[in-house]
Amino acid sequence: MNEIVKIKNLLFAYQKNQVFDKFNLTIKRGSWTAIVGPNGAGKSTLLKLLMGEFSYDGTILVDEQILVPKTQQEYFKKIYLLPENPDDKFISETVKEEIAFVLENKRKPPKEINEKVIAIAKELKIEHLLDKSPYQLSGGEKQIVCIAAMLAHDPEVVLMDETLNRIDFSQKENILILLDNLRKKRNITIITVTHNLEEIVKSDHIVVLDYGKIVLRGEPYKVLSEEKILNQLGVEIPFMISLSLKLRYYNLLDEIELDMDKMVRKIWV
Amino acid sequence: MGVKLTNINAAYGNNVVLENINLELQMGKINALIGPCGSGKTTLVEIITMFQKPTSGKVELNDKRIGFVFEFPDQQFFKQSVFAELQYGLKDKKNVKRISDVLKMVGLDDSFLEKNPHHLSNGEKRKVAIAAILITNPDIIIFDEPTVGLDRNSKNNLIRLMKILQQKNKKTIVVVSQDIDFVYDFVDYVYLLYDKKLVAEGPKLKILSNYQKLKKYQIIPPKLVALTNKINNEKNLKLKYRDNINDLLKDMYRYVK
Repeated sequence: MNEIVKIKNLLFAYQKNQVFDKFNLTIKRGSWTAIVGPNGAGKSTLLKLLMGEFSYDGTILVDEQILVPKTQQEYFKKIYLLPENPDDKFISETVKEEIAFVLENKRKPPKEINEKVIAIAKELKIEHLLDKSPYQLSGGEKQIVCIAAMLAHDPEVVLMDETLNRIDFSQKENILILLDNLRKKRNITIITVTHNLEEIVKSDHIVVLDYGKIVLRGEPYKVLSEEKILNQLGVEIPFMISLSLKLRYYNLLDEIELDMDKMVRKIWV
Repeated sequence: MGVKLTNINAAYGNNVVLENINLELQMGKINALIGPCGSGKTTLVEIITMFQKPTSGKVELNDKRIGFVFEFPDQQFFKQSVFAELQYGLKDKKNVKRISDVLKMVGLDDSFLEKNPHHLSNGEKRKVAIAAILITNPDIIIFDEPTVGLDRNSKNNLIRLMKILQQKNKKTIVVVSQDIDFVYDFVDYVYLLYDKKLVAEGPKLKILSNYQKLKKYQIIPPKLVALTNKINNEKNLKLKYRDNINDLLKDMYRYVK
């Protein structure tokens, strides 16, 4: 049960283009896994397959639940995709209705829905937004409303496909911290497909894909230090890691340092 | 004469989104429009592209043709094949060679012609979206958040393409982007919007190395600027602001030696 996502012998092709050929991947419960790789590696396709957008051969299990028409409802209780463009997802006049809608779909009684919406709003500190139209919010606020809807859905696995791209850098960090806290508190598993380095560094596990195959996987620093392989694949290395490696080459620094202040103090001692 | 905006104001109902914008695009250069969410970037671009009318003020395009590359390529596509998508923008519909040439320019080959643009990978979609604009031969090309979802190689290819378009094809480029490190890497000129107003404009190094000003306008400085700034403060040095990490490292190395 420690492995929440199990993909076995996955076969999938877009028309003649074979994307996955006997692909296997397992993901640990409660982990934050970043799937990285060049454009066209199959990253987004993998998430779409998890969301049941295409039919495939092989097995995909989420929390031991298989995606087949008969058990579809049970499967989708366990998994949730945070959208890149929240406007595509909104269907209600107010934030309150937007969060409540998810609970209504679960056929919860009105009193429970109301209590739950308020509890979620409190947890995410968005009580002041409840009566506002979701369309009028800032990019960051919209994404937090999506996270509120996600909490109402109460999934085991949350998928993000370049989800935080539209958000200011200043708000992005707050949302990443919020997601990380929620993950730890509720033992949610996060799987993110991104080129965003801040998001990659937040993960505790990285899977590098190329042409539908796993090229590298492991702890972030270990994977991100494989400069040669990542460069060949065109995967961006976070600035501080790349800088550390360069400084190490010049004998100005001994180890990888992610904190800029600490790094500056360490060089020229 | 290029594109000139004079005293532009814009609002959605009672909600003011742009206040008294005066701006002249730097023709033949790579311009960047930056600013936090809600600063008015999108509206300003919509006014330049004539998608939206300002509530007051004057927009002079001086016969310049403008191409707009959408942030989400899927919003731009409306044909079922890459060929049809590109042919739509072609004046002489029989000029099939131009379709191939433009595809090549963005780094795709003829094998993409029959593919459905909606079925491509994110990076490929972006390339087709750019090709669909290039084929109309605009004087000014505006890219809305062009790096979203691109890997590093694709980003580098995009920078290369923009430079070719600017230098060889004499196009004016405008990049609307939150990716400040990308902007710092290669643009010439920066316009900074904040709270509905144009608060600063000038050559890249001047605007993006002004640490205090960027902070004031909620822009996280480029990493190279932040690093240079920290080193200068901590070590009491006067390293120059560089837009290339290797140049900065060479400067640092010289100091150590």
